[in-house]
Amino acid sequence: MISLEYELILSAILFAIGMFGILRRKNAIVVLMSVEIVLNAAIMNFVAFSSYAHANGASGQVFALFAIAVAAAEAAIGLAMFIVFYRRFKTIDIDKGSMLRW
Amino acid sequence: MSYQVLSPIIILLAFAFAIIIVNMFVKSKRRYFAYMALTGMIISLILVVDMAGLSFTSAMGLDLWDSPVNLTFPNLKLKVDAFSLFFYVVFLIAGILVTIGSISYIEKEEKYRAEYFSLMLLAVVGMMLVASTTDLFVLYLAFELTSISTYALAAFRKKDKASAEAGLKFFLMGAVSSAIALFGISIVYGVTAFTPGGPTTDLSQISDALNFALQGGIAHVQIPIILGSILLIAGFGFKIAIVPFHMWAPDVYQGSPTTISAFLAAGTKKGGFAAFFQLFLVALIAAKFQWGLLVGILAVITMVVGNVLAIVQTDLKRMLAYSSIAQAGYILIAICVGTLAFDGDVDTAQLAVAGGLLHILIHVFMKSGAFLVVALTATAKVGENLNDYKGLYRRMPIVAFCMTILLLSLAGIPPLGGFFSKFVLFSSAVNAGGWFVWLAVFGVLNSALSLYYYVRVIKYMYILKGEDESRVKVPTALYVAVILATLGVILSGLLAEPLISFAKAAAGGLLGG
Repeated sequence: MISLEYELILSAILFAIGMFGILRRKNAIVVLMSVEIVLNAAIMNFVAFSSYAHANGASGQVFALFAIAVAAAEAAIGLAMFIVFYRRFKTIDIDKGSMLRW
Repeated sequence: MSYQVLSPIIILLAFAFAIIIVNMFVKSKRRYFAYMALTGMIISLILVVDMAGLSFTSAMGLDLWDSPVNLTFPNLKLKVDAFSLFFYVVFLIAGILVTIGSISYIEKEEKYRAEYFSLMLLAVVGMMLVASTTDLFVLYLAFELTSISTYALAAFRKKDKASAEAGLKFFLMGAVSSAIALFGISIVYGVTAFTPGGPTTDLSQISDALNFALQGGIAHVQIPIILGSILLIAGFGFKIAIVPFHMWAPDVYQGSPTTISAFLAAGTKKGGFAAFFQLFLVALIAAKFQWGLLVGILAVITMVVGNVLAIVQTDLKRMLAYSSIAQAGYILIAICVGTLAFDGDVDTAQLAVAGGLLHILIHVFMKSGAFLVVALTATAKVGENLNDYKGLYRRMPIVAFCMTILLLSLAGIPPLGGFFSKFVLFSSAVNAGGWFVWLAVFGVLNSALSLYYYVRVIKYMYILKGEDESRVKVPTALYVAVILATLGVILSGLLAEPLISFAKAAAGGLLGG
């Protein structure tokens, strides 16, 4: 059986990839995809911990399902928002929004 | 089980869906939906106040429930006690003020009005669930309900460039912070998985599990706990806009429709604080040596950065946004000092949390009132820039007077509500001694600093001469909302004594359970 460490390393790598994408990329859709990767890292954590726990581990798997549902809702409203933004600015580059600066 | 104590939440949900359903059949009635939303929130508020034992029925001994209510629903992961009732009052007041203001503010948008009010009700429901949940994961889900509703509200003016940009920024920041918070929750869940209680996300069981782990139950547990705490501070810190996670707030508050800015600053941000209180003073309190000092440092940085950047702003919405960031710094003091409950010094901790809660309540009046004044001047074609406020005293005298009261209360001038909450907050930090005193010192210095930019607005309104000094017709609904908020600020100063005991009961509910 694969030990817990490997699963945690995988989720840490996913988290790092996601954070890199969030901080580095300018395209809003790529940023949203990076957010989904971070969410997936967290979901992996839940499933991994719940299956390696001593007892009563089903809760983590339930949380994973709920988190997937939340991620879907977020993607839905996010893409709608990108369309609104695109209609005003003709781009979805997040740096191109230039109305609000201090 | 007496599920009727959940009726404030259920009523709001029913009205939220009813608005959508009615919208399918009725298109013509112009202000119908605002009144529906308002009715729902007022009924809900009356019920909440009744449950808190503050109304006629309990005075006459006619109450159907113990007051204040204290009931737990283990299957629903919900709890209704003094703490959650306090936050219900906060959220409902914010919702009511903003809804009244919206009646005249969103006159121009004929379409999608039903969705606007329905989403606002759902956001309030989400925050109420945050305040009454007993489970970390449910807290996350409830917060997502609020967040997703408010993303759509921030971008409500689809034709407006600034609103579209504000919505996009708010959504991206919110999504990133939710993902980070969820990762933090998963790490905390992982730590509890190896304690005798088994994996859990129940807030008080997490506290027991972390206590067990840190007492030596698990080897090398420090690093995961520190990591989890930092991720949770970052995740929820975005929501309440503490420095260094504050960059989105001024942009979003400036770009959103002003009533929504009021709702975000007065309502949603308080939801973030409800989450912060639940998270750090119930679940993670056993790990306070891992995060206590960090939160203290962030509180000081938040106050200083918020106030200093507010000074250079000329757009009033931006100025209020930075002032709102600074106020978040003051409220964080309550969380730092509240950790003393873990050492057994419950009295000081309770006083601090009560001060924080009181400041949250009064801040709702002050901040939503100030934003609604800006919405009012924008709707009356006066503008929302500082220069547009020159000679406002002659153009709309009562509004200028209300704004003066609200700003003075934000600065913490004695007879008004803002003074008492800050006083309780800072004095609890001084009582606590140790490094907490520095929090109070910085708080007082920052209050003095903030006086500069609040009084500057008053100077513009009263002393400087404007180019156009003709009287302006004031939109009625916004006028009513502004006056209600001002009355709230004045009354909370006069009724400081009972409010402090209400807040203390709420703090006791949080720290006791």
